[in-house]
Amino acid sequence: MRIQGIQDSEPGGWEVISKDKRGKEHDNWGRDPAVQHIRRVFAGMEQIQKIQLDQLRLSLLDNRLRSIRETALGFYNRATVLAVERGIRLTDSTMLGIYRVCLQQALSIAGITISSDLLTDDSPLGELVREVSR
Amino acid sequence: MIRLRLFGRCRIYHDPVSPVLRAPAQIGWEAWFRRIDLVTPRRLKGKELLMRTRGWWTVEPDEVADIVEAHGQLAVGDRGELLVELEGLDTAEILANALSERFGDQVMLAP
Repeated sequence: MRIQGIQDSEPGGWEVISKDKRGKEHDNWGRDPAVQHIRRVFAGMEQIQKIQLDQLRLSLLDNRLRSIRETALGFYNRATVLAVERGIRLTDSTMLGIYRVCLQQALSIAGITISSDLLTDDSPLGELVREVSR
Repeated sequence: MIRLRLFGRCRIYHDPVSPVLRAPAQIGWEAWFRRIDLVTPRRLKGKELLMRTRGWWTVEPDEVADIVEAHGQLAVGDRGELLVELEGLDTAEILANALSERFGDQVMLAP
């Protein structure tokens, strides 16, 4: 996922890290609704990944995961562009639906068999992802 | 030996991120009595790259380094990735548990 316009707010940049009396940092970014939205989506993606890997009993240290994640991200970036071109509104649930199918597609390309009861086609999102993964 | 990447959570978006050295650091020199035109490219070492995460990760890198170095070695991969070199999968799991005990889900090992 590409985040546009974050250069000005990247950590290590202009943001002054403020701390309370106990030395705990204030989460200044967390007040920004755009940041809250992106956090929600990323947390959802992570949850999808965790559930999928748990179901497949894949270790988080499994060497194949790097290329699986990279492939899924590549599909996701292309599929969301295509979705916008086709007038599909990218709500949180649409984005997560696309990512779920992308991850499943990437797992299957890596030769990891996903049982049919774990497959979520999410058409037309499934169609979208199949198109970009051809 | 196995090599795994080290991820921490981004302070803004809270997703797992890992630093990558895209190009060697360009080290130049300035002196009191002369000009020095020499610029030497220098790859960072693993610990140096980890230290560059200060302000980007939600945790302090020196605390991460202490735990990681008790189990393995920090290194920079061929593609500039921040890696931990470990004896084997058992050691990796011990380190993953140690990181989880200390930092919860804020620091993780991944391929």
